[in-house]
Amino acid sequence: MFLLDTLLVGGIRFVLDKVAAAVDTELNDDTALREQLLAAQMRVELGEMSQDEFQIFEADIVARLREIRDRRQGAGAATLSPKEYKITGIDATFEGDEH
Amino acid sequence: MAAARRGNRTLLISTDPAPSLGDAFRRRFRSEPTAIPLRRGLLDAVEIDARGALERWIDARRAALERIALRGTWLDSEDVSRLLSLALPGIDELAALFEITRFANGGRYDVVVVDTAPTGHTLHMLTMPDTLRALARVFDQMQSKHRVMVEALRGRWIPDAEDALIEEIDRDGQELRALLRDPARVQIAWVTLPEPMAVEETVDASAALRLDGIPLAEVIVNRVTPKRERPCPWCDRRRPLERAAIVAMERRLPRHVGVTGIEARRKEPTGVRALSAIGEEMAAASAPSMTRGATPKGRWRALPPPARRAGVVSTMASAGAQVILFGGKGGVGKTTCAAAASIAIAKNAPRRRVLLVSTDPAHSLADAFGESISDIPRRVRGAPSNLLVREMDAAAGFRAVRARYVDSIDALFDRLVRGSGSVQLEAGHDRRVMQGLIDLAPPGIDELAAVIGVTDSIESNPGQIVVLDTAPSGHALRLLEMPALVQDWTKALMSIVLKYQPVAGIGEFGADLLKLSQGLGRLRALLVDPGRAAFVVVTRGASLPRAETLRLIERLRAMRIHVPAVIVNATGRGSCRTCREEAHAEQREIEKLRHEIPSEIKTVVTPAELPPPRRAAALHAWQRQWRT
Repeated sequence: MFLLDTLLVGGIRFVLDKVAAAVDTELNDDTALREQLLAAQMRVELGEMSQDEFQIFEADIVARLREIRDRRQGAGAATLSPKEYKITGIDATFEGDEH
Repeated sequence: MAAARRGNRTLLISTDPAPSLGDAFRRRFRSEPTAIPLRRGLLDAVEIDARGALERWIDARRAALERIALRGTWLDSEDVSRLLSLALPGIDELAALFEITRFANGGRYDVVVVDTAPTGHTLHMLTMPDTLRALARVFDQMQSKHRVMVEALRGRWIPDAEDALIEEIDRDGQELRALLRDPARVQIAWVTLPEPMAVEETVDASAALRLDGIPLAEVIVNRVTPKRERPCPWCDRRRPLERAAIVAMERRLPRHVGVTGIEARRKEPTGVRALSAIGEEMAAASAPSMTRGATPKGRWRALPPPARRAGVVSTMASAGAQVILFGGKGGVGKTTCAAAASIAIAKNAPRRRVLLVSTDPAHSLADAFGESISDIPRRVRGAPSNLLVREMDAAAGFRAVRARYVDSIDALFDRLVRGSGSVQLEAGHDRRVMQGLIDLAPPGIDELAAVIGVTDSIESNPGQIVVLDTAPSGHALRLLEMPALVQDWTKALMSIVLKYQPVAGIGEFGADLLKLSQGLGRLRALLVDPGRAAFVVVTRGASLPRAETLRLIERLRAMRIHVPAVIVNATGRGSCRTCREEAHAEQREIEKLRHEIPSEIKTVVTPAELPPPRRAAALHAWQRQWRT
């Protein structure tokens, strides 16, 4: 049981770490935004996205890039360290027949 | 025909993507043997359908190919079947080799005679066995990952259908390689004309073959001017020039290479009877007749026809022109015409940069300008200063592209390893497979390098006019099909990159693909814009070139490529009876051509000149004699 708990909580902790890192990346990493922009350009080239859709998307990305720049120039990067949150509970639902 | 008459069951195969066998025999041939009725002997002929042949080859092995790709790469079955369904750039040479082997091993024929594509592409075809072996090595690397895994799980590996395919490809490559180097089974005869540029190309080809260890058996010099009974300003001047060209060639060929001369016929030889007479002459193998005497000094030019001169250059190069291609059947004088026209275009547009580029792997621009030309654009003596000339080095271009992609693929794998976080992923194997794939020089390397080079050139300098001296017909068409084909590949790869973006990111590889695809898209739009791009067809006043010209124009128009003019090159002859007959036949052919081509295409006629125009000054003087 102890092993299961460790695995479960450890596993969830691992996932949440990844989520936190991803949120951090989203907030502060302009490389990811630039990649998103490149991906959108590729989708336009492939005919999967229209020029109009791209323009809206591009405007949004540019605005976010500007935010990052402002944040960097301003109060320093907002970071979300895995140490700053605490797991308070796990809500799990199981579906299907019990054996 | 000579072989068939001697009791050999003979098959004649044309591997040229623009075949003329049918025109020569005045019959229609298909991709499966058709009998040519002879009084004695068995002779069949085939015009290879490269695309069909390769599809047949892939179809028979599709399941194994897909499995190898699935096992050896990160791609899933959707990706693999998408990539396998795309047309391969420049498959003609590879498919030609498969077909030659298929017919030669079928046991139905004693002798297989192969009528190949023009120089550069034939040289490529002869090195294809090495490409096959390299392909087998990459497949083997892909398969080895699977082999190691199965061995680890089951304790041993039992070779399967995929191993058999890899072995088959490697064996085919090995056998073909040995076959081409075995003078007892294969004889290579190089056919040339007794003209300076043609013999120069022959000497280059012979050296390239020697370098690859492929023995050249003989050189056949076609259309040697025979002795005339009466003096003739054309024939009397041409013969010593031909002799000088042949002697210069003989000196530079290895001693064991025999040189056979075939005399020019009064009438263009088509049909079984005329061709069979040539076959017998070749079988008797006589050296070209050599007349003694000094080469006459000065220049002889056929009288230009009384027609309009104005607007010859503007017909070909409109004010907004960005790309002008010169193409046509092999040996009609494309390079000389492209060189002369480029000088005139540069003079007409002194403020614009004119870049003349040869995309034919068997370059001749250096011979036309009488000085060495390289991959780096340079000015030539006596030509306007705004004219730059370049002979594209496809191998170097490919190396550069490869280096670029090796770097970005390396970066992709680095990200993959990093992206996998704490789980250390062993990506070394996949990296080796990708690098092996990139190391394979694709069969259409010349067209690929030309397309990428031209795209780069236009994008970096939009104000310039690019004049392309292309490889003969079939390969010029292949060049024009290449942008769409490469774009299909870049798009397929982009889709795959996007699919794996969450794991691997996009990185430089994706950015490179996007840039290439956008550039190709712009090039495709440019090529079908009559205001900016044109294809000038060069031909001769004879029936075989006319037939090929008509087919070429039809294909170009189907591709929506603007053809403003057809140049009928080197018209006019001397005053002897044969010359007069030839000149009449030539005029008839020109008239027929004028009637058969769409009326908006102008016919430009250039006079024959002896010696053929060489260097900028002579080229320009000659170009001024062109008439519409």
